[in-house]
Amino acid sequence: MKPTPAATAWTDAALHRIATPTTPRARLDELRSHLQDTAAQHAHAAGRTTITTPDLEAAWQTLGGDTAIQHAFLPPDHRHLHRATKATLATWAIGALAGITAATIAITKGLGNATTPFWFLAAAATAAIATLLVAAALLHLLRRHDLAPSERLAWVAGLILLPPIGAIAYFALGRDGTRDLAHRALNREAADT
Amino acid sequence: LANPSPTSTPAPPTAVDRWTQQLRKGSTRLAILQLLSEADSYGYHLLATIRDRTAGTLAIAEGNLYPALHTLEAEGHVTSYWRDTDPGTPQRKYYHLTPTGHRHLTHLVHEWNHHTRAITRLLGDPA
Repeated sequence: MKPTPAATAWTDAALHRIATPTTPRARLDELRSHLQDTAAQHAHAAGRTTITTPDLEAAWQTLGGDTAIQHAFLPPDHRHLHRATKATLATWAIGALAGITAATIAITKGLGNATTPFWFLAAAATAAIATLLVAAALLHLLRRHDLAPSERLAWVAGLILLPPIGAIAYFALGRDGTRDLAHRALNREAADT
Repeated sequence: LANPSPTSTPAPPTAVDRWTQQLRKGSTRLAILQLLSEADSYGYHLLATIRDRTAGTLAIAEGNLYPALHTLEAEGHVTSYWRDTDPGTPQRKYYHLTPTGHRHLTHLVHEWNHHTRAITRLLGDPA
């Protein structure tokens, strides 16, 4: 039994309403199929040969409405993924703000000598926390079965590639800053004398 | 149990209701695997078949069926594939029992029979 164009549009809107940006397409397709079978029963009971919007509305209520349908067809982890992404981005933003603030203070107050134990320990502790966070996120990702392969690959690639990109950027661009050049010039001068 | 009036407020679940709910939930996996051992099937058909073959006693909700199917798939007991239906209608996701799933079903059936025989003996021998 086929749906009318209006019924198809209603289904699209309903699925769009309860889906998150990362909802696997397969889960939505499975829901669409189940919804259509349920709506077909309503249409059959009403003596119709096509599925209309009221049939779909009745089917939606039969399945329990938005929350029950999300619970049944969309994995619980998935509904929280969007929130987790926001939390991650917020954490990165706070970290970046803290880093910029620390760098500004260090430059303006003359605390930029990275060879002091305080700065060395702070950098080592930050690196250890970052390593643990990346490892934990990777393990969590690999344990999840509700992600599409492309989604999993994108997250893993992002997690693995971001730190090396930062390191490569530093070695490619950061080491040839004016201070480093000045240090090397001083070293050469000291070596000559 | 008497059916409540449609206009009345639903009564809170009793201890018997909760026990029956747990019993149904525990039977869901066995019912799904049994039906898939007979033929590949999709969610809606599984629900309808379970309801019909148990005369409505084991009316599983979508909220129990689909998470159970996805868990069975993640555990490797079933696989899924999409099959075309009539033109203009969406494809259906069919589930297929794997050899691991067959072995799992055998274990579950054995445990079920063992358990029900024990309970039946217990109920039949109150002394």
